[in-house]
Amino acid sequence: MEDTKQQVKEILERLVPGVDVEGTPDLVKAGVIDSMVSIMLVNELEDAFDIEVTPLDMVPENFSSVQAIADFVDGQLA
Amino acid sequence: MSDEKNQQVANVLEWLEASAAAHPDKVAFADDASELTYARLERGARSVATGLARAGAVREPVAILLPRGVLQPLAMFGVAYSGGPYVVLDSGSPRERLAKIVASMRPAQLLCCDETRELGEGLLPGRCLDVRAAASLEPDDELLADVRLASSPEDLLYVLYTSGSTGTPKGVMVTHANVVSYVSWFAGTFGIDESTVFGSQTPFYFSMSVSDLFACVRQGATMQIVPRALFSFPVRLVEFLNERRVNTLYWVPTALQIFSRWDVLSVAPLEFVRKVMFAGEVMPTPTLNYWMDHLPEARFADLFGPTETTDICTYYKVDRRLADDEPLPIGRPCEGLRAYVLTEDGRQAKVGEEGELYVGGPFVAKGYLGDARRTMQAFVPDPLDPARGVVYRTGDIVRMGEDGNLRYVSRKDTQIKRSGYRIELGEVEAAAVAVEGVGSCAAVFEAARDQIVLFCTGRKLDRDRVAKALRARLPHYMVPDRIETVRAMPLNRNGKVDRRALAALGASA
Repeated sequence: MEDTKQQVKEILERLVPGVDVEGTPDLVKAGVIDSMVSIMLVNELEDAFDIEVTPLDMVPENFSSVQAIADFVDGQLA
Repeated sequence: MSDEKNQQVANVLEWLEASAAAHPDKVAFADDASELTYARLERGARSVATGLARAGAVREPVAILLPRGVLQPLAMFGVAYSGGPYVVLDSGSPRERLAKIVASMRPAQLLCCDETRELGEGLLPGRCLDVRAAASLEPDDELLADVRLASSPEDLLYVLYTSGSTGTPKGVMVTHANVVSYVSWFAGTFGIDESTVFGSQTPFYFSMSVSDLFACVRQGATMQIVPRALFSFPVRLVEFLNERRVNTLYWVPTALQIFSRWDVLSVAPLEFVRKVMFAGEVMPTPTLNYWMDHLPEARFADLFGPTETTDICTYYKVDRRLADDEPLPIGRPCEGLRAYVLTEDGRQAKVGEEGELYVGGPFVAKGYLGDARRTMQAFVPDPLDPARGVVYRTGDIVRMGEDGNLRYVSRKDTQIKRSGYRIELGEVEAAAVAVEGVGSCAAVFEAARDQIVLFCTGRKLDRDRVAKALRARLPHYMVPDRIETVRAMPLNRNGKVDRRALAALGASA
């Protein structure tokens, strides 16, 4: 599942250039994931992993870190 | 009741005092962490004014640099009690822009808190007052009574900086009289009363916030200040609005589009919302239809206007269902304003004819602070009858429909000329947004390449299909030369589409 994490990291780095996405303790609290980034991110995740994200999945816990996002994606793929 | 309020008030503080006397323990403002009752708001604002006066700021401009939340309205009313105008600064704005605003406004003091003190000291060294500390002072009621005696309805209540096309922000000067007349109209027209619970989306440095903030205080209503982060998590946003029993929204369309993009209202219904108003940018009709389908009991209204008319100058109460490809009207002038459409050659436009919207009347602001040149360009003697005073040239191209409703065409500065044809980019956008699958879109003109580029969002959007649909809808000279799909529209700090960022994106493509 390291693959997922690496891919998530790359997607996120592309969306928020210049942000240390793995070094930021909480991406949501830090304001990195704002309303625009979250929409772009979910679009990317849906395409990259061929998953369907519903509004119910859109909760801060699923987006707080690269690991949390990767875990969420793996949960959808399982 | 509203007529009485309309005629007698000279200063918005009278609304606060009447609401505090009528409902001292009712919550006026709340955010995710704290709340302020009317009694505490009034007393706290008097204390803040006392602190400002002790620091020498009586009838002086004051800057407010605070995080989004209840401290902001506390500081705004505090400055009003001190008799001076306030400017609300956006702590997330680039430092250089903040410095330009401070240089223009020349505030005597800056109200800050622990979180913003460092930034504040950088902008106005040695003159930063902690708003929490000031709010705990014993109010000097005698001094504040003297300040009020010296006040006039023509005193500035605030200066609001809008982005100027040259990059230098323009400070729009708005008086108590402007806000009193405008907000009285707003509250009366949309039936705002003490049962209203606003869910506030727009930042306090944006003109739309004037409507819900002051209508709330005027009517003794409640405003729930929605945390910005919730707009990333739409179901949490719905939970917040339901828990706080929010029944009235006045948002930018982009914020309302989050709900249609995710089909949020099917899984998380809004329980209390009965009024939905929007302004600030063009509302795509499919988004409105989504909301109308999910909130059949609610009433909807499209509001339109610039900061220079306090907030709004025309409005349309949605009175029927529109087809997805039918642009939403901006309606008719607010009661009490005079507004008309002038053609390029200075005639009053006929029905169906395009022209620039001019607005005169009590909502029209006093001009731009310290900028006589730009003030004289935009605030001009009424061209139809100079004896009627000053009118504001909106720079908006509109057209009167046969149904008596105005329709927005575009900004005057997005009107372009290509191959001899005059083209309104807004018309290209209106056609594109009606194409199935297109989420939101913006058309940009690249003068260097003489090309129209259309940017649109939409999952798995087929560009050829969009191009084909546009060729069927638009005259050939208006069809975009390129269609670019983007993951999401870049947004500015107010939550509106950032056209400059798009232009840069197009140029690099």
